[in-house]
Amino acid sequence: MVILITSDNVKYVVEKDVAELSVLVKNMLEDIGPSDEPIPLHNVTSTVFNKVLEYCIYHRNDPPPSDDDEGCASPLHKYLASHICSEWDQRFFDVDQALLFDIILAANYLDIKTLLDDACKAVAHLIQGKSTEEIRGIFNIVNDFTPEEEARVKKENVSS
Amino acid sequence: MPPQHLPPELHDFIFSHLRNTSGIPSLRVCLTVSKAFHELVEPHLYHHLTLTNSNDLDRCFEFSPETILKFFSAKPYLAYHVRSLKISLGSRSYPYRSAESEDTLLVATIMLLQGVKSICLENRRLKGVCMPRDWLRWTHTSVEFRSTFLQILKLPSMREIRVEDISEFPLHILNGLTSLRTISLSGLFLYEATPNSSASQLSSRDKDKRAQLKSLTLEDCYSDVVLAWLLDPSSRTSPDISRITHFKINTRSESAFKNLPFVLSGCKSSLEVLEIDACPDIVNLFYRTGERETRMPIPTPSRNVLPPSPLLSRLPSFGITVGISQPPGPGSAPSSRLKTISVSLPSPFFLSYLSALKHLKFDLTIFSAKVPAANPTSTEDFYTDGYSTPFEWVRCMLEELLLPDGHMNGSHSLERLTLDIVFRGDLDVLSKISWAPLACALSSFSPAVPSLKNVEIQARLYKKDAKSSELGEMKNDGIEVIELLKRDEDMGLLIKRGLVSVSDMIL
Repeated sequence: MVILITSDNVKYVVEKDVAELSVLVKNMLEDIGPSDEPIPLHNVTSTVFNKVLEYCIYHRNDPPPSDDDEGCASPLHKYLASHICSEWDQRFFDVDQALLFDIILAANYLDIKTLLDDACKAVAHLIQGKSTEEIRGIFNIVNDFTPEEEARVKKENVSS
Repeated sequence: MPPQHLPPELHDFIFSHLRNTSGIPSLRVCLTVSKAFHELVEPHLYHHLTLTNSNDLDRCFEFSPETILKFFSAKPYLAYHVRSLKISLGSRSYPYRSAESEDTLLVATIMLLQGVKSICLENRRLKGVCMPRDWLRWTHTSVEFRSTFLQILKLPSMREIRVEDISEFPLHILNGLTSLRTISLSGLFLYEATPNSSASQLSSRDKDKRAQLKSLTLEDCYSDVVLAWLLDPSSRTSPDISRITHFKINTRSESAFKNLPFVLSGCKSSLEVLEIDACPDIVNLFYRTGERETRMPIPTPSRNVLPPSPLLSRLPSFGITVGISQPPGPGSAPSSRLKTISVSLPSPFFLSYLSALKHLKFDLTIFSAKVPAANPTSTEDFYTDGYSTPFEWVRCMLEELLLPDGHMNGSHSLERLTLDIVFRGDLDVLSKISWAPLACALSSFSPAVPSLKNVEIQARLYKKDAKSSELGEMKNDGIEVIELLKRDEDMGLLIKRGLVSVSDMIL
């Protein structure tokens, strides 16, 4: 078992194979060696970690993600990588937007590739079919184009 | 509470998912969100580039060489962002039109792309049709195009090539492309061997001239020629298959199935994922619905050639005559321009020899149809409901994984078994299928492989959609099949016990 402490001082006792889905935790465990010392997770609150833990427990037996940087992923891996297959995953990511972004940040910090992948897919799904204004709202972004620049970008976009 | 700002690298990651999931229109909208978004999104728009000379362009995803050449001339830096290139040849009716004039713009565009990692050359198919409209031979493309294609293959960044339905594509042009890791082939191919004089054992230095393949996919192709290319003992530059981790084969023909042991034995220590798309003509057995209890196959249709169990254990040998690339000289006998490549395995090959296998996937099909009744009493009951299943084939394959001399018996590595089953036909008939043989095979296999974590059935039902029946489209509904599986006396029990999971593939 591994003891993890979130940024709001909530303690979790987690099975090692589940905790080690996080590369950050795995590396820390390797660094400190056999020890009961709790591992602090500075950038993750308990609210977000509850979700992360739920995902890791459900996916603990999944095959490790394929690294296709070398262009050697099989068609099967590519297909699986580009789809959220299960109903469970769809339900899991059906949360409010702020929490979804927090899950992405936590997955990035904890270095859990599959969770980061799936959460980013969920956001990609979220913005499909949305207008420019709606996407600005989703990402909390202010339009910094001048009207002339915006018109030029739109024109280029149509002609390409 | 408004969402937190994500760092640019995570925005970039989200955009990469958009571009990989048909989200190009949304990426175009993202271009106009802000300056930072514009900078991040623009390269993604050109990550996958499809160039086609066809007139039926899909506006969101495809470009004519003329359009893209104009665009990249204005913004040359974008050409470097093209990582995945598909060349879809379609509009021409070779050899009646001049390939040279048609290919000029295509060639000029391809020359601009210097960062490509993955290339696909395809004979364009009509929308919604499986078959290409015409045969397109490699030699029907212009000399200029062939030379440019070869140049782009030699880019140090090149990792993957896919060739689809280009007739007589010469496999030997892929020799010596050391950066290649993934090859996917479909169609008819040509291989010209090197003369016998160079035949000798490979030295370690020669290995440097060979691509170290990681993934190989053989779809509908005449596998004898591909095998001759991969296994030619005298070739010093054909790809090395000994490090393949992923292999997919579609057994549309008997020869593809018969040749399977050669590829598998070549990568038996490295192969982690094996996907066999099992052609029903080769692996299915036919039953009538009334024969549920006896489970005896109906007299075998002529094309059903299910081999005896164990499936791959015949002593494999292989021989094919191919041309040679440099004929000995003028006046030499025609036979000296040919070479026979013969390979045989020293002993029968069993699936259980795959010592690194982690994921085994079978793509299967179950059909229902009207078949002649066993004992018709009148003309009205001459036909009865029947179905064909690959259950016996699955049982044989699983048994072979457990053969005593194989690796599975010692150190188990298989973690995942997937049966991706497509159902075609009447759900009413499908509901009468006896699942007991499959349930029996799975329940005896699972305990024998302690490393197995997941046995899953992915189900899809294709049935005619009343609204679109004129177009011949089929409706995809796996949920009905899953319910059927859960209700089944035999399979339902395995699902309830958690030995098998079922899901419908969300496409």
